[in-house]
Parts: sequence; C-alpha cells; structure tokens
Amino acid sequence: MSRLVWIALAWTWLVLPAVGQPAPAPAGDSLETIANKRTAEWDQLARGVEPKIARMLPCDPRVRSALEEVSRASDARLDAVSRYLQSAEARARADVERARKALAGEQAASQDLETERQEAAEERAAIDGQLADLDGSVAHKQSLEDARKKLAEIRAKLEERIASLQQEAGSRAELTSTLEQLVAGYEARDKAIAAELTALTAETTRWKEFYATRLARAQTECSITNQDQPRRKKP
Amino acid sequence: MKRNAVLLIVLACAFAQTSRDAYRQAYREWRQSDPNLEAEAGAAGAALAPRAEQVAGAAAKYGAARAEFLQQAASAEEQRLAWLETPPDAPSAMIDQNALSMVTSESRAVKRTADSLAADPDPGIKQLRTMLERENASAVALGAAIEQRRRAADDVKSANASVAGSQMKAVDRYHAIEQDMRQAGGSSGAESVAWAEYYVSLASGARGASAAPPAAAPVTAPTAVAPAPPSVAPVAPLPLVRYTGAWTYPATGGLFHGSEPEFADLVVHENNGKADGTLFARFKLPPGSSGDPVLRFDFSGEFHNTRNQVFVLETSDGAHGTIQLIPGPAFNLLEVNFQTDPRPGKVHQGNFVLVKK
Repeated sequence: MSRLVWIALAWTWLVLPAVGQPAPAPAGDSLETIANKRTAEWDQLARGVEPKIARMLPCDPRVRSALEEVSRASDARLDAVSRYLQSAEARARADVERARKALAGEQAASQDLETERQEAAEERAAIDGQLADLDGSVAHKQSLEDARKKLAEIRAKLEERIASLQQEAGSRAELTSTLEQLVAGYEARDKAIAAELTALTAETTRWKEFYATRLARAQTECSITNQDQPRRKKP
Repeated sequence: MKRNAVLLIVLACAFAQTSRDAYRQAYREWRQSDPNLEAEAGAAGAALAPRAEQVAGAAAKYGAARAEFLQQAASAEEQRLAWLETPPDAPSAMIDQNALSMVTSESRAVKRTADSLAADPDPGIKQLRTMLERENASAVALGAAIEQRRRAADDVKSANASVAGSQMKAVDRYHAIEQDMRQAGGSSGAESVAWAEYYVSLASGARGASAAPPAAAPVTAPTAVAPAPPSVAPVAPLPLVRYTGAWTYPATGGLFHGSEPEFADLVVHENNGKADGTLFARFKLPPGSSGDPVLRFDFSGEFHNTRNQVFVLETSDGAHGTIQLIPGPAFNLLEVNFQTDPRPGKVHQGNFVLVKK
C-alpha cells in the first residue's frame, strides 16, 4: 500500500508538472518540419485508401489494416500539429510579456523625461542668475564681455536642449501609443493561437470519430456479406 | 604615486554612481562651490582664476556624470527595445487544404450510396445504410470542425499581420527617439565644452580688466600684475615643460579610471603662449563590445595662469570636447582627463596618467 502511495506521489511530482507545458526538446522550426512531414504522410495515405480498399473483398483483413493505418497517420499528424501550435503559443505568450515590459519601461522613460525638463528649467534659472551677476561685473570691466557672450551662448544651447527634450517627449508619446497597440496585437495573437489549439482539439476528436465510423462501416459490410452466404446456400 | 592612487579612488567613487543622484549631487556641488563668482568677477582680477578653475572642475564633473547617466539610460533603452528590430514570429496556420475537400467528397459519396439503398428492404442493407448515414453525419461534423479551425487559423494570420505592422511602426518611433536622445546627448556634451570655455574666458576677462581697468571702474585688484608678453615668459604658474613634450602611457602598472588604455601617446607643443597637441590612444573595451577602441584627437588653446590647463579638442571624426592636463606629483607625470560629445561605439571620456618619454 505504501509503495503505491509513493508511486502516486512520484507521478504527481515528476510527471504532472510536465503536463500542459510545450515539449522542451525540438525548436519551433523542427516541430513545424515534423508537422508538415506527418501531414504529407497522412495526406498520401488518405488519398489512396478508398481506391485501394475498393478493389478488396469486404472481409479482406487488409481493409481493416489499411483503415487503421490511415487513422494512425491522422493521429500522428494532428499530434504533431498540436505540438507545433503549443510551442507557437508559448512563444506568443513570451512576446506578450516582452511587449508589456517594453511598454512599462517606455512609460517610466516618459516620466523621466519630465524630470529632465524640470532640471533643464532649473539650470536655465541658474544661468539667468549668473548672467544678471555678470552683467553687473561687465559694467565695471569690459574685458568680461567675452565671458558674458559665452554664457549667453550656453543659455542658447540649453534652450536647444529644452527644445529637443520637447521633441523627444512627442516621439515618446507616439512610441508609447504604438507599444500599447503592439501589446494589444500580441495579446490578440496569443488568444488566436489558443483558439486555434482549441479548434484543433475539437477537430482531432472529429477525425477519430470519422475513422471509427468508417471502420464500423467496413465491419458491417463484412458481416452482412457473411450473413448472406449461408442464407443463399440453404434452398 | 600615492597621490595618484588617492585621486583615482576619489574619481572612481565619483564615477561609480550612475543614477540621477550622482549628477544631481555634482550639480549641487558645482552650483554651491562659488555662487558669487560672476558678481565678484569685476573686482577680483587675477585672484578669480583659481576660483574659476575650481568651479570649472565642478562643472566638468557634473558634465561627465550627466553624460555617463545619459549613456547608461540610452543603453538601457536599447537593451529594452532592441528586440523590436527582429520581425515578429509568424506561426504557420498548419491547415491542410486537401483535408476539407477530401472529407466533403467522401461525405457526398457516402450520402449518394446511402440514398441509393433507401428503398432496399433487406435487413443487412438497412444495417449498412444506417452505418453509411452515421458515417456521413460524422463527415459533416468533421467538415464543420475543419472549417472552424481554418477560421481560427485565419485569425492567427491577421493577428500576425497586425503585430508585424505595429512592430514596424514601433521601430520607426524608436529610431526617432534614438535620434532625439543623440541630439540631447550632443547638446549636453556641447554645453560641457562651452562651460569649460566660459570659465577660462571669465578668468582671463577678470585678469585682462585688472591690467587695463576702465576709468569708471571703482575697484581694481591692487595686487594684480600686468601679464608679461606671452612669447617670452610662460603664462602658467608651473614651467610649461610640465605640459609640453611627448608623453606615453606606461606598458605596465599604468594608472587610469574608466576605459583602460592599451597605449596612449600625447604630444604637446607651445608657441607664443598657445598650446596645440595630439592624443592617439587605443583602449581595452569590455569583451563582446563592438565599439571602436581607437581614439585620435587634436587640441589647441591658450595656456592660462592656472595649474590645470583646459583645451578644446576635436576628434578625427569631428566630435568636440575638452582635455584637461594636470601636472603630476613628479615632473615626468602628467594626468590627462578628456571628454567628448558622446558618439555611438566611440570612447568619449578617459582619465589616465602619462609618463614623459
């Protein structure tokens, strides 16, 4: 009994965490290649199966094996497509997170820019004070005129900086808005891939039912053929 | 050498902080270092020079700290948004176009067969007809499921297109910001250079005025001495030989802060009280860095009556900046401190001690 409990716990710890996560091994490209390969294999078998069994007698065992083979190929194809889409969805989720982080960073950078503008205004006020002081000194010593001109040039450069900060604020507002659209776009893509995965699960169930009913028809064709033969022999 | 070590530790501490706090602190120190400098410039005469030099040093420290911060902010932004340059992943729709047509034609064939057996009273045939109808129902349901996934795949496709469009727009916006940031960084660099020039001009203006005071000037500095002709006597308080000549970075045990030079050669000439020179250096960049390790610039300007000399420089690719030459504790040592407008992938500041060749 205790051994069973340990096995159950081990299964819970080791196996369950892996369930629901994308297969870790092959990269997206190889999963896509595998899915395309499996689809091509199934496609070839599915196209040929009806013409092939049409030439066989109803109870020929090769009828059943041909139908089972195409059914297995269908399962393998849908499984491969599912793995590929799961991997795509995991990447899409990561893209959403990355875009959200970029947006948050950009929003913070826009706030920083406001700080930059305040600091530049503070610097401008300080230079204005220096200029006022220097004007008084220039009145006494003309040789300070060159320094006064240089200080005025610095103030002009600071104005240029303030203007380019203003321009940057406009560009950042546009980038923030575009990143918001990008986040919404990535979220929509993530949802769309998840919806396709759900649709694939439903389609997989339908394919299984389809091949099961096809196999059931083949069995019926065999059984009614076998029932007819002894009935006709009697009279 | 001990003084240099202490100096480097102080510099390292000053440059280690890269947050806004570092440059804000440097700004406060600059602004509080001599708030009456301009107001007293008219009366201070030659005595203003060391005060101006001290304030210039504080301004340069602020400029360097701010440039460092801007560069760090730009790198952080680049790291945060570099992924935008890579086109978004576009998952394949994984729709087999043949599947639906195959199932549809199969469904039609099954239905046709079932219909053809509708009037047959044979129980076996009836049983077969039931199976055919069940198979047809299954094929119809399958067709609907395939169609539903196709629509979902179409949604994925249009979401991919929308994301690709937004991402391209975001890249354009980001490039515009990069340009704005470069412009703002360039303005900051130009301001730092202008401040260095301003303080030099302020000191020489104060000194010049004391040599030939205007008649209306009520106060002059009585101790000011008229400058000697520049071509005859050095204008700096130390012999010019402490700055001029050929200097090199030692192959081993060199002192530096920031980027470590692999080699650095400096040549300084003096002519009629004016300096001109060239620095050619190669720096050791961090592993994986794609930046340009080589830096070459020319500089020139007048020697001033201060221990530390500041000159305006221009690099081989047109960036502007300043270089400060600080005589070392021994006659054959010269500390170099330079900064230029930040340019992507270029070394834009450096601080190291050279030995006279």
